[in-house]
Amino acid sequence: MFSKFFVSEEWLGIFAIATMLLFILAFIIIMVWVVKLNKDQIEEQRNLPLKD
Amino acid sequence: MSDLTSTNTTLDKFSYDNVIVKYFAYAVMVWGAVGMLVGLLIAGQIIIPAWNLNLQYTTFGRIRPLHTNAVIFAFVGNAIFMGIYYSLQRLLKARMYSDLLSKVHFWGWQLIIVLAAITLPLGLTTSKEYAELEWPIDILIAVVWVVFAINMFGTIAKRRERHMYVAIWFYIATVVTVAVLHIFNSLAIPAGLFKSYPIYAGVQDALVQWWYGHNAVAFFLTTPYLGLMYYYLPKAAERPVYSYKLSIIHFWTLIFLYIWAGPHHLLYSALPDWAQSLGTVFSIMLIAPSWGGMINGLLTLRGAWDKVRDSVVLKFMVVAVTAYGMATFEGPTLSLKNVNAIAHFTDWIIAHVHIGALGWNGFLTFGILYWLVPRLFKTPLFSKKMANFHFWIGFIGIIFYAAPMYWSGITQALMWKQFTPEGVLQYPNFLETLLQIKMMHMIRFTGGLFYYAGFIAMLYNLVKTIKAGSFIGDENAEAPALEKNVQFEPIKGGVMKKHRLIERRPFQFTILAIVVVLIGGLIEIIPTYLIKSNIPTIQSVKPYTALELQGRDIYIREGCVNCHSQLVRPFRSETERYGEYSKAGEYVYDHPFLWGSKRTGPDLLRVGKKYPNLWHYLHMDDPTVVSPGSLMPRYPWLKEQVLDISTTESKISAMKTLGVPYPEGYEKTANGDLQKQAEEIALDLQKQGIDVTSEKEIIALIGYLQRLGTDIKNTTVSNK
Repeated sequence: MFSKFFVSEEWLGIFAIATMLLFILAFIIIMVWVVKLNKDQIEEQRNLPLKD
Repeated sequence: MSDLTSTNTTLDKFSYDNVIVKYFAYAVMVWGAVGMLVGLLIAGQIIIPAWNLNLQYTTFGRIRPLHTNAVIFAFVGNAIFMGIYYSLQRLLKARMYSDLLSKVHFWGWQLIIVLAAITLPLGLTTSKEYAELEWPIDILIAVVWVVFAINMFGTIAKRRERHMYVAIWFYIATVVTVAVLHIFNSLAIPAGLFKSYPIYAGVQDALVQWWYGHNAVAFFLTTPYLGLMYYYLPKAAERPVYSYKLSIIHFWTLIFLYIWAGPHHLLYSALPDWAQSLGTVFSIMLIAPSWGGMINGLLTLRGAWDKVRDSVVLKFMVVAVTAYGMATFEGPTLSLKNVNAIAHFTDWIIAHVHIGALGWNGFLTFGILYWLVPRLFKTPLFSKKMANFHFWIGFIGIIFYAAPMYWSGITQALMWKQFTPEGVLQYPNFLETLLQIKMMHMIRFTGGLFYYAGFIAMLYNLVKTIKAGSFIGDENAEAPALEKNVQFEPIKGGVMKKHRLIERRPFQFTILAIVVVLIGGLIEIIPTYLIKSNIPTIQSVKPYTALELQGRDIYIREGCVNCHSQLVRPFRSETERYGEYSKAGEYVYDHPFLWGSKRTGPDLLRVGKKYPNLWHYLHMDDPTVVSPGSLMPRYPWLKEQVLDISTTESKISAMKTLGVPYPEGYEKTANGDLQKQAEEIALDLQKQGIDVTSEKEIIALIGYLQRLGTDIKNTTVSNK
């Protein structure tokens, strides 16, 4: 199924666009995740090196 | 407020293994001294080639990889393990999973280093940068790395701290990615116990190598050190990292982006243009997470900058993080095609990598050592004054190293590209451009000397500290046991549940990290393999003859690729100087590719038939005879040593296995062809008064050099 994607250079343009979209999507997910993180828990993790 | 619904009140008593940390700390000191000393030796040889003592085993081409391997894998490698073994135990509140595995890891790694120190001067090399070690050592590296991984993940599994601090995320990314990079880049067909050919050829080999090479920088010199920064900088500053949220964004975006950037090492090369562009775009994007990490490190000191005045540890760490910021801004800048056109192959790149190596890796290691050794030995540092001396002499050393190299790099680029008003090269003799920068190389050597002097001062300081202290191998500790099946309160519509899926679950976390890391590499490499038009066939390009193949292996053994490229970029300044620009199809039988990354000498791709055999013979014996003032070392042993033709059959067989179209049964008759071609060259030399016989190594090397770049004449390029 995917072999057709690799037979000519015409398909290569897709890689650059798909790559960028993939990163933007991943970045948005990470940002949303981080923004919603619990502050107390973040504070707890942040201080871990100082607790040993 | 914790989201735990119950708390464990029973305290486990256990101990941390400090012995393994001490071992690795000692290894850092020893190998750092060796690796940097070899660096000084090769820096000296660029000014005075005779510093090789006229020995083949100490000549630049053979020991330059020894320097890079010693600094990267011995000095930095041992520093990574030292830092991880100390911090991992404390962050997880658990002793290492297995003391035995720790010891196997330590002694296995030292064995690899010793084997590298023996084989590289002997000329046993794959020639692939930072992956020069031959296949038996590659297997050993994989085994030892797996031992380390088992020990690390075993420790994570038995941890008493539910959260995995962000430093551990970086350690995990390092362990899994280095394994993937090492295995894929080292795939090769052995042609003997100490000789192999990579399964990739030419453009594909270049792409895989620089996917590896770039990410060796990323996942060996950067991500583990970021993990160390996130642990040791807060410890030294006695305050938590500035933003934990920023560290999470830093981690995921960095590991996602880094893996794509490898092709920026191959701009204007025969690599397909789309792959080059992809590498450039992702390199530029890398500035964001890299600077996120740098800012997070520096802002950890907010409100505590007064401590930097008094703490030599913090001084080292601040310069280290700043150097990281500089190098990670410069790297993307160098990946811009217009900047790369100037900087590539010049000393600018040497300056760039040493900002990273001396500043980021070196200074962070020193900071950690100054923090760690007094704690391990329960005594104050022997001399704070001496440590401050180390800081300043090291800092000045970096300046004296980098500044002349930037100057030198730009000078080289300008001279290489300069045309007269009449439209011809103003400096057609490459040597002229090299002699112009000799003074810069001398200043660089002085900078290295300063840096090394500081290192020696640190060794003395730490040895005195160690002698004055008392070491406790098993450091007692206690922590609540980690409860299994703990119940969590749902927070904000299940967000915390998703968070726990990753942050507290090492297995899931590792799988996700692998997926993120692999996406970039696969998208770049797979099309290059599968799209035939990426590498057009050139009908006239034929496999090397047996003699040329043997000569090529001598070229590899002597490390010629460390100073000479075989890649003519499509610039007028290069085609005027060297000839027709490189085509991807020219390299289809090159296992390995030999494009190089630095031009201390001129490009050799089109050197075939440019000079007579006699010129090459005299040049290899003493370069100054045909090129007065040359800074290339002599290779007199080539006219003395007899070519080992017993290896021809296995080499041709290995090449055939890799798909090189030699005739059926050729491996059996190859030596006949070899001797015939060798006798023709020897006869030509004898006619001109040279006392040489056909079985000498120099004949094979001349055969190879005379072949270089000659296939492209009368070419037909076809995509079929």
